[in-house]
Amino acid sequence: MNAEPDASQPLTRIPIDDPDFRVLFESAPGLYLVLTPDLRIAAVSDSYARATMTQRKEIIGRDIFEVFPDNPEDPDATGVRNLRASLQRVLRNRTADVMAVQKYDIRIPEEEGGGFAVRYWSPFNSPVLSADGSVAYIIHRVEDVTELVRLKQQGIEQSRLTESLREQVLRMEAEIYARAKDTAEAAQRESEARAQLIFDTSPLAMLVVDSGGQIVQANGRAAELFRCPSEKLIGRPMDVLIPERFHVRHQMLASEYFRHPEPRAMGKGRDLHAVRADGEEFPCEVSLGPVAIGGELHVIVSVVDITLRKRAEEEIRLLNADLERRVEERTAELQAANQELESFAYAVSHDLRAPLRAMSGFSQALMEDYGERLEGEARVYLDQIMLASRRMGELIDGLLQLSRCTRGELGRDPVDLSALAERILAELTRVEPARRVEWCVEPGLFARGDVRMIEVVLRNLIGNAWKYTAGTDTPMIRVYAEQASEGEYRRFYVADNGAGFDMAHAGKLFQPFQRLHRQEEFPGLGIGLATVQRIVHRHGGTIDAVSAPGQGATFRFSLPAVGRGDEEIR
Amino acid sequence: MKAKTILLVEDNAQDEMLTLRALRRVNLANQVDVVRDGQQALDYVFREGEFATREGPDLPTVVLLDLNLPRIGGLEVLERLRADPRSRLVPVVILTSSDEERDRLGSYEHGANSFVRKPLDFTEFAETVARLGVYWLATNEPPWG
Repeated sequence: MNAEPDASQPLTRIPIDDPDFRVLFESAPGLYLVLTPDLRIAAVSDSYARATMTQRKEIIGRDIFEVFPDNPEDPDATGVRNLRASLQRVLRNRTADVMAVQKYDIRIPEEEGGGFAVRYWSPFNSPVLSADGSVAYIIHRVEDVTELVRLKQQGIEQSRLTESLREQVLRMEAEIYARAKDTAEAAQRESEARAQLIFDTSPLAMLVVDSGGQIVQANGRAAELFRCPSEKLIGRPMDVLIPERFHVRHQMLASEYFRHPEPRAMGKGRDLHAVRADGEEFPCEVSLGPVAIGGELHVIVSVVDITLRKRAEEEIRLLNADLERRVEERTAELQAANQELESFAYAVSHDLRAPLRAMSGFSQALMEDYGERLEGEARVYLDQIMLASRRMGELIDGLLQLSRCTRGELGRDPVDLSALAERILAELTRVEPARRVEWCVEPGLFARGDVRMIEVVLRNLIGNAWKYTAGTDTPMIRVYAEQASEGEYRRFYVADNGAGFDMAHAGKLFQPFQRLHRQEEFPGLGIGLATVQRIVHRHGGTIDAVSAPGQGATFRFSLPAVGRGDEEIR
Repeated sequence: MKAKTILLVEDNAQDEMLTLRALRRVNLANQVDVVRDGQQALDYVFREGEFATREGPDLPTVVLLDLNLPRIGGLEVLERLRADPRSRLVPVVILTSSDEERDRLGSYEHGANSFVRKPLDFTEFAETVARLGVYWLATNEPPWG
């Protein structure tokens, strides 16, 4: 602290041309220590020795840190470390090094009580370079700032010292704040402008309504929708946009909404209506979203005119209703037609048979009771009546079977065609044991369908094969199928080596009452294949035939296939 | 021994003639009463209407019933016979031209004892009717003694 020059030094004793630099140095009014590059003390000013409570003769030649160790009482002491670092920087860089204010306590001599005294220093180390540029000495200059630090710590000195600084800081702060505020406000303004732009140009009609039900904003689309300029909407109650009959309910629901505001669609499960300025009502969809504006709860209301959608929906509904009605009508017509067909078949079954029975019956009775009295060709004529009525009876039976195939429920069971075919062929063999027909039925032929109808199919096809091989030397009938996977249709074949037919007439094959052979060649009704085709068609399958005169015929028909599981169940 | 009768319910005169001829040939013709519709059949069985004063046994030994009848149809006649305690057990044979499944099942469901389709062939028809007559009058034991 004490840095005044020692007044006791007699300057007059020093010659003017050869000043005593040692005296001058030692008397300099500053705190100086000169160190060698190995950090030993080479010289010290009186002021330095006084300030550090040391004696020159006791410290010259000694290591600086031996003389000035850290205060062992202060565990946070950094003096030795920081000073050594600074000095080494000087040695390394050969430039001056300014240290920050450093606490570096000073040992109190034993005779004065010992221990350490708290000191703060502001050190400055600068090199003295030799001719070769290496560091010859380091001048270590310090200022004792202990008092200043103490005052600062008390806050007195600081307040005085920083008064002006603080003003300056305040000014700067104000400026920074102002600038920041400008930026924030600009951002805010921009965001608000953007929001407003979005609101104004939204393709959705939007309104902002306050908790009192007043419209505070309305965008362009809303003005368009309600046919009223925005500025005329603003300030008016929301109710003007709602048909009067809904006012009470709306007010109730609106106040309810403000109690539990959340974004949601309005009027779930009921049709909403709004009213335009010109009084026109329109159906709409409304969505609500709460929003705080100026700290107050508002609701953003978006309104969509759904007139067109409603109209389209209504059209679809009408079309559907119409379609349904037409389907019902058509179904009823079909049912009526079916009904008619059924009564017709029933009538045929009952009413055509009775007179037939009478014709054949009385012919026979006549023959039996009066046969011996009939002359000439009378018996032949009676025979013809009986033959004709029998044939007509067969025709009626055939027609009935044909009509029965087109009505009634269609079974969907797995059917074993192999077993059916075997049985039919065995029956035919039993009825006509004289015929020697060879036949071969592939085992395991299954189809899904109506068992009785499929039996009719096989009975007709196998019956035909049987019939048309009558004139063949070695008649052969084969029943087989193509493989098919589940869910598909499987093709079945009934083939013979009989009379066959000319493919030119194949078109007539499946038409009722059309025959490709003369009655005296092969008798028949011409109903069988028509019936077969109907049955196959009802099962969703197809049927065709390949043949040539004298080459036999192969009938191919498809029926729904069945899976393995079905066959096992069967 | 009580007299045994067949009640033939048949609206077709030719079928009736052929039926009677067949029964005559097995000597049963004089035991047959013929009615022409369902109403007459019921009146006959219950001795009502025009049959209020008919003679003979209370119930026929067998009723040969056609289905396609004027006024009251065959199935309804059957139903009413089965519903009445007096005629509940009378044997009824349905004799019809129909070979419709619904007629066959309907007949059995309403309690028919037999269902016979009239054969189209006269010889067969005559044989069938004769067998029926013989069976129900001579072979079959009626429910009452």
